[in-house]
Amino acid sequence: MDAAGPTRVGGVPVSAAETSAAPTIQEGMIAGLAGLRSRPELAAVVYAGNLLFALAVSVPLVRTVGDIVDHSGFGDDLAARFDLVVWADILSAAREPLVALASHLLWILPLYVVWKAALSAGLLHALQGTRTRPFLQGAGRFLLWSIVLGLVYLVLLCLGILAVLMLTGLIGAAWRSPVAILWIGIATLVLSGLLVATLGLMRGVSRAALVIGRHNVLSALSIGLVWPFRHGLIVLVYAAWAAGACLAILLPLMLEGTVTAATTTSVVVLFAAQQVSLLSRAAVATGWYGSLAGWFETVSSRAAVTPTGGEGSAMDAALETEASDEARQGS
Amino acid sequence: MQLNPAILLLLTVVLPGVALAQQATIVDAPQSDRRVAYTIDASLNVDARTVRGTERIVWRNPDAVDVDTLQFHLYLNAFRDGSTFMRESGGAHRGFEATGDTGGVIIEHIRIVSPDAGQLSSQAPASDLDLTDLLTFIQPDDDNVDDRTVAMVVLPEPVPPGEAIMLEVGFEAVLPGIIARTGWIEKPDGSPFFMVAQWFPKLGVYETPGQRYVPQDAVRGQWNTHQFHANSEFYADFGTYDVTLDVPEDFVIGATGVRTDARVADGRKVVTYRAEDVHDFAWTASPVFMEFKDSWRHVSLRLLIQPEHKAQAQRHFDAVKIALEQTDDLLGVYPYTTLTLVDGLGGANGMEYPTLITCGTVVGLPSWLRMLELVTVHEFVHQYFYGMLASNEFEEAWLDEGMTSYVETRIMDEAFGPGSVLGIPGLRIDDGPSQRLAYVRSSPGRGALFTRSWEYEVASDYGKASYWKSSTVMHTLDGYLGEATMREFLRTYYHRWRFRHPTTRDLQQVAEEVSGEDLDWFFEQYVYGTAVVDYAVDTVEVTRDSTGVTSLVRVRRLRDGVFPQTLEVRFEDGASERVAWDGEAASKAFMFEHGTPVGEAFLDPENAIWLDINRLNNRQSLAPSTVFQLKYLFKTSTWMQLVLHVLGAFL
Repeated sequence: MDAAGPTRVGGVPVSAAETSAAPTIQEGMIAGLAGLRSRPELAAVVYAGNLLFALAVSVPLVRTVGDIVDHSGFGDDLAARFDLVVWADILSAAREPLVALASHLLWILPLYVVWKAALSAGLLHALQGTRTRPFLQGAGRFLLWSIVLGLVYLVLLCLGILAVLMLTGLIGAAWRSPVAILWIGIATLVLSGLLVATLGLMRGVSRAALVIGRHNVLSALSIGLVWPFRHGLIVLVYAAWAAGACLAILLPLMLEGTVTAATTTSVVVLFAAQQVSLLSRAAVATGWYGSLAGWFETVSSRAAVTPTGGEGSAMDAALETEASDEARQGS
Repeated sequence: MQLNPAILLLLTVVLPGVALAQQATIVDAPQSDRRVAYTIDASLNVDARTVRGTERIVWRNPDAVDVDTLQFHLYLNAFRDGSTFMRESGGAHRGFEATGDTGGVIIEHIRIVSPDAGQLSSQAPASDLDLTDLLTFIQPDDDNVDDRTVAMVVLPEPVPPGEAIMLEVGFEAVLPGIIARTGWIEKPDGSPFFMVAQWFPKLGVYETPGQRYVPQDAVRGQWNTHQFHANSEFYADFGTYDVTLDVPEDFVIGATGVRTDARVADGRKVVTYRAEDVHDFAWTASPVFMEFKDSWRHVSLRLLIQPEHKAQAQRHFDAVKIALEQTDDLLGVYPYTTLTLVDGLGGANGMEYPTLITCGTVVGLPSWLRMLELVTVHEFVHQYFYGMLASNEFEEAWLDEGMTSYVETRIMDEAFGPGSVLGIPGLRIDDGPSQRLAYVRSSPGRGALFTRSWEYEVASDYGKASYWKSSTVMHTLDGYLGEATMREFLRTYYHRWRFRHPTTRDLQQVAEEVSGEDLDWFFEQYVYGTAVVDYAVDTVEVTRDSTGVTSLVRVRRLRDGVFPQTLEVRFEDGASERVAWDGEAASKAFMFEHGTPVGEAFLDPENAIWLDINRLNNRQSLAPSTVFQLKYLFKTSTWMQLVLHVLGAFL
């Protein structure tokens, strides 16, 4: 921090008090858990949205394969164990309908981009402050710019991964050995993973700046890119929620690998257990957005007590406007 | 000049054997007819990447008539520009391209010598016995005059029946940049690795009347010597090898046979090996090999592994012990006392030589991916199909690669169970079924097993026919004959033909003898021919009237391959019935009268006919499986949810 005066973050002046008054990790986690406890329905929204998308793909897929398997008599066998040869025959017979189906399902991708942007905006909107705010209101109001931010970060991610590949490629060219191939492969994966995580955090902050801070896209983008470097502790909060997310994703896979479900009952039980885990994954996502919203609000409000004006003042003004808007709508 | 066979026996077999610290085989007496004996002194020049050597070859005329010519393999010349190998392979072999450092073998002299000529090359034989200028290159397989992989010499005097001739050959082997499991390569840190195979001038096989496909009533036998091809390189006679190798002191050597002597002097290491009842000799040398030792019953196991792979040493031993155990049970004893496993570099891996195999792995190979085990098992099984059952790989590669692949799949799938090759949650790939799949998905109606390796119209058909289809054919024969008969057939084939050169006809004859039935229909279609098997349950119709329920099941033969079929029908009350069908007609209807209708009809219910290219149509059920739909709907949607969560991290 420049001692001579306030630094500008995304065009917004930020005081020394802002960084020094950042919440602790504990506060960050508590904010997320509190949000989750006060708005558990949001986790259900996350879970349901994801499930609907998954069903939109899997129902026609399974129906296509099912048409081939149904009267083959191999259905029960295939449910009991994996048979490479029969599956190869099935995929061979289903090649044309599956290709046609894939082209029909391409619309899922842009729709999912929209859903993810709406989800982020809606959750941040709903979990900010102490008043209950409607999820759909945030999702609707900030959808467009949330999508734009998502796409910008997607481009940055592609460029970043390209840079990682070039870097590891250069190292690989200079360090040629069988051991190097393994370590360079691992390094590429780790660096790419870190990049995805870092940009994911930045994207979340940018959306918080957009939704909670009411910044414009460029300003929100700048804030997002700088925040993780200014508020190191938020990274730890993010990592804690990410660890929970990884566990919640690994659990269904572990169940899949250890439980052989070959009867209707066992299939249903396995699915239910996996869905519980996926519901917890949705809860983790909700908790993270609660932490992010709380953190952003705390930092902004503490910064607002300093004589720099800026972010805190802008947010207060925006919140006042929103409160009066809601009051009018409510009446 | 011909030698007394008794003296030759003394010189080449008995005397060296007396000094053995360890026998080369578990049997004292010769196990093969030992038509040849090689004594080689060779020195490795690391900088020049050459092996200079002198060899003494003794060859005994097995025919009942005089033989006045000799034919040699000069297979290192395959790596010269313009060779048939280079033309066929395009200079690339199994994913490894020729580096531009071509190789070759230079014959410096070739002479007839007498047994009392003293040390090799120490006394110049009479000039009239010098054959060097008489050596000519021949091309028995094609008209490529640039190919110098086979040479012939007309002897000044023929070799009488039963008599022997001793030759001395001075040669220099120029090793190529490694390709086709031969040559040199440097590791990134500059340390050299040498895989020295096909390196010395070696005699071809003289086939006598009645041997293999030479007619029994032929007046004389004939040399069977093929050029080195992209896909085949092995056919030689059994004999003994006494080989002394001279390498830099810090090099670790692995070689065919038993080490009988080793000494170090003047910064060089000189090691002598002896191998008996083998038909080739290969060796490897590198200063960076790590050496591990183990044993299995009478076999001393030695692993030469790259340091970065040392964590996988035990996996090599575990795999080869499984292979030793199971081949012992399935075929018969491994008679040699040594086995060297080599973890080579570049294109050196995945190859068999007598008592020496190259395996290969990568750093960090996970335990659920058993490529190391698969290659190790495969190359070891070659000690039987190639090593002892020394078929002509050029003409009948399937007897070598195909039988090996079949036994390999049995060993892998029995030893490691479901997911024997790759086993991760939700995806388990077994060895046998994956080979069957590879055959089914690569134009199954093209390329017969019984085809000369270089005569496949489509080059990729060699691999399909010689490996995957062969394995599938043998599994089908296994299913047809039954486990007990198949085992008896394999053991009989091994015990009858080991240390000889069996043919497809010989294998069929053993199968027929053991099974007690004429198997022409099988071999004509699936070994000599390209018939494709595909049977299907066409329709299941049920009619009910006052007399009861009648079910009509119609089955069809969809391709040209004919195979006896079993049709099993399962009635709705749980009862079942099986009927046999010879499978010859294009279509056949079976009528069943039972209290309840047929709910399911199933051709090949035991899944014994691996050659059937579409199993899915073998079966028809009137009731769809609800558990399948439910399981895969749940499974797919769960996986999609996981994918979407991961995808969300990018958005």
